[in-house]
Amino acid sequence: MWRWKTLVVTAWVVMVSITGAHGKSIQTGQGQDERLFWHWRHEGLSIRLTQLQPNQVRAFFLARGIDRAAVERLAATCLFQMELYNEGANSVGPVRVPLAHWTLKSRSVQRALMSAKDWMKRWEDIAIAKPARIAFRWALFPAEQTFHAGDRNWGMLSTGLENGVEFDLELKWLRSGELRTSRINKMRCAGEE
Amino acid sequence: MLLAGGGRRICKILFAFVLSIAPAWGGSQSLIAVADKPAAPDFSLADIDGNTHRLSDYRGRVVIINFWATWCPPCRREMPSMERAWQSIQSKNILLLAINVGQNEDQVWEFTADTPVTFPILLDEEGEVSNEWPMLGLPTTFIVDPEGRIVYRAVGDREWDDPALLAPILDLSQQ
Repeated sequence: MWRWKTLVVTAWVVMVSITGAHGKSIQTGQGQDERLFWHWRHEGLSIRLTQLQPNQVRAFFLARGIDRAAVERLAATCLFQMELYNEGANSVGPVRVPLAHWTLKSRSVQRALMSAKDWMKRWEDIAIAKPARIAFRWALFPAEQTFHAGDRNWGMLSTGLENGVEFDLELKWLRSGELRTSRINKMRCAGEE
Repeated sequence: MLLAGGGRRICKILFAFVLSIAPAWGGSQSLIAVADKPAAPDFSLADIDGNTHRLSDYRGRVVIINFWATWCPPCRREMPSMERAWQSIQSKNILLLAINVGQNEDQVWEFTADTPVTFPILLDEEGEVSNEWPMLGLPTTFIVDPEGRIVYRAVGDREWDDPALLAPILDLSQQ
């Protein structure tokens, strides 16, 4: 009998974590590896953001051949794994996602995301081998990309914040040339394990 | 007793609701038709067996070109279905070339030891060819028609052995 009670409670927790206003839903939870995720969906656009732990960041970029000093600067900041999918549920055309216009707010300070170019400036004093630069470029989520129905992409989102901090993320996208915005509140960066 | 009867019904309703709003990742399988059908940028790259492939040598055939890397999870995920698709289309005047971006032969061999594939894997170690193609993320796959034009594109991974996904490619090969 306790199993049914557990199932009911679990289902209820999932339901209340979802807001139905304006067809938007935000589901938050914890994966099997204990990383937190935020899954936002609206008008057929799906964005899932999962915490990346500093050790995961180190392991990934060291394996790509990026210099350890450069990797430590990366690991000292907050990164997320982002998966974006145009589910094709809406027939109103492609969606353009300009990350340069996304903002995040932490401790009353608003800032932009960090791009690959920003990282190259921060690494000016470190020699980064060409294969490592190529891998880094492709590992970050593209600064601007158009998603037709059925298109999806995967990449890292660099917030530039310190590990462990809480922030609100403002999402922006263009559908049929019209700018749309939404917000995910109280996201949290992973901390050092 | 309540949970054994009415409780189960409540559970079913709750879970039906949860499932209806659950992530639908992987639901839509499609190729996007590329407007204006631009000429595919030519390239000449060696594969991991040392054979050189020049795209313009394959005029008259449909060529599927997949850009990928071993460290990219969706790229790894679609490789087995790509191999299954290759087994069914290679006799139909269709060629599949997987271009690895920015890695060396050893890194690719290490991957194929675990995930064996029989279609050619080309090496774009300097990333110069991938820079010439209209793409922003990995994996991205292009379909080049027999006249050497990009006619379809798929951004992100797909289940490539899906007959619905392969149908427009097979149509091209029969024109």
